[in-house]
Amino acid sequence: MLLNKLDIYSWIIIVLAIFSAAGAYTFGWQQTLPQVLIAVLAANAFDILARYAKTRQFKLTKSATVTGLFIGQLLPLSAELYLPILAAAIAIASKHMINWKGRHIFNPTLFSMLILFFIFSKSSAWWGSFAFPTQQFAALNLIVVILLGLLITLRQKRHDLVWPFIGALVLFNFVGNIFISGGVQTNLGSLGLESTTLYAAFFMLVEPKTSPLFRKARIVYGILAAAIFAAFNLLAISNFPVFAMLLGNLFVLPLDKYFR
Amino acid sequence: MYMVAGVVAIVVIAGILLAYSGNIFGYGTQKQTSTESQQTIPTVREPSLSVNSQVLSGSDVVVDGLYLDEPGFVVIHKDANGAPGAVIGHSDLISGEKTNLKVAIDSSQAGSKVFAMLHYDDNSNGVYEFPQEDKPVKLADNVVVKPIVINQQTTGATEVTAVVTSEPKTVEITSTGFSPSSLTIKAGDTVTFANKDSSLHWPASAVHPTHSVYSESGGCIGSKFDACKGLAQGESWSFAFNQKGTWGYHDHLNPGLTGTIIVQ
Repeated sequence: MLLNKLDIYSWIIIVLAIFSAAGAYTFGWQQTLPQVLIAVLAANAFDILARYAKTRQFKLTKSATVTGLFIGQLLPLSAELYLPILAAAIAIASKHMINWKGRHIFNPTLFSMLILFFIFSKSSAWWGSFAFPTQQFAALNLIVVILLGLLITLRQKRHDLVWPFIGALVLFNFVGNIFISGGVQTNLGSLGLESTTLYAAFFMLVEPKTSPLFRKARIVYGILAAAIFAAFNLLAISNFPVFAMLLGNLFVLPLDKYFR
Repeated sequence: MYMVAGVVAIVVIAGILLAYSGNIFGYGTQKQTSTESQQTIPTVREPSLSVNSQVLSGSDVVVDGLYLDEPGFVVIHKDANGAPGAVIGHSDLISGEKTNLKVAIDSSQAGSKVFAMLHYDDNSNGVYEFPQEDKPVKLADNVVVKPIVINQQTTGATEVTAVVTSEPKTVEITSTGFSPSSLTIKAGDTVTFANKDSSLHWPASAVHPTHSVYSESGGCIGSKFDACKGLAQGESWSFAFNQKGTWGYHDHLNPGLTGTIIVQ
């Protein structure tokens, strides 16, 4: 089977391409596809240059395409088109320069979003995570994100990271809502079970180079990341998924070292 | 090797295009330029008034809309057998287009009908001085005047009370954000979010992306304060705020655009 021969990067590219296509349908191609295409081209170009500078060899990698697709989908709709180029440059620089023994410290896409936030006050939209039209069938988008997310998670064998994350997130949000709003909130969004958080969990949290190598470390990491997510959400911190994920990234190497 | 060179060339060309044009693909700054470059056709707009029957809100009459081509006043006359009678109130000096203009009147003389009339500030001193100055606005020798039916609601046998009505509140969305960015309303008031931009905008409660700050459950993600879709240009979405508090909101498709609704 051809599908069984596909590596994880190919699967993620396929899934992100589906979200891009859905976004083009829902929000209009002019507002979505240009920034995605430019981000993909720019990420590949910068990655090729960076690898050439290191190895004197030209090499095209799928991970650069993944980074470009993520950048295109995290940027606000109709972003000025220098933003995907700049974000791609920052992400690829982060990938090649901010690492420890061959592993990225920060998710490159999220690191680029952090820099854009501080320079241009551009909060990440994550439109790829709600690209399927919610007004026509509210649960459709959530179902698609979960199904495609499960596909990626299982192929990456990172379910021992995602499920502790989701379980802990619901628990922390449930308890936190009682303390903050004084009542029980049952909206899925209030519990953290909305499509952007799940997109972040299924497609970014599990990224092999920025998630723990060891099973116990992954379980603890999932719970820790959920605590940060829930706290930032309850405190209504602007752009919180980016901050929460990057803060979580800092614990990956120490957890691996501890649970080795 | 050729493919790599091609990719690099495309990125470089895209960068150069952006540097010189500011934007491409038909939005952003290019949109403004094309709008500015359109030839404008001069039009002469006549003064106009639009009113509706209403319940007095305190001692104010509300004029729904008007246009004055020169500075002037809206003057409220009492009813004298179906024609404008004595003046019982007038607006401050105004010009151009106004909507939902409140004009303070002597409500004890309002009766069941009043007349709204446009006057020019003839001597440009900003003071309403009719009949010495400040004649009524006329179109083809006809005074611009509209009758307003006043509905009064009674409680008890004789007491007449004014009913406070919810005024329409509108937040316009443009490429630069929400205007006004902060709006104070009463609990139960409805706010209409109107998209004036060519890009889609999706107003929703803070915080992005969970929308869970507004404390009324419902909606499609985390609270009832959520348009649940991108509004196209010219499209609007209205929401009644029943919960008191200060509610931050944002554009779900461009979360850097934010605003606040203060519900008292």
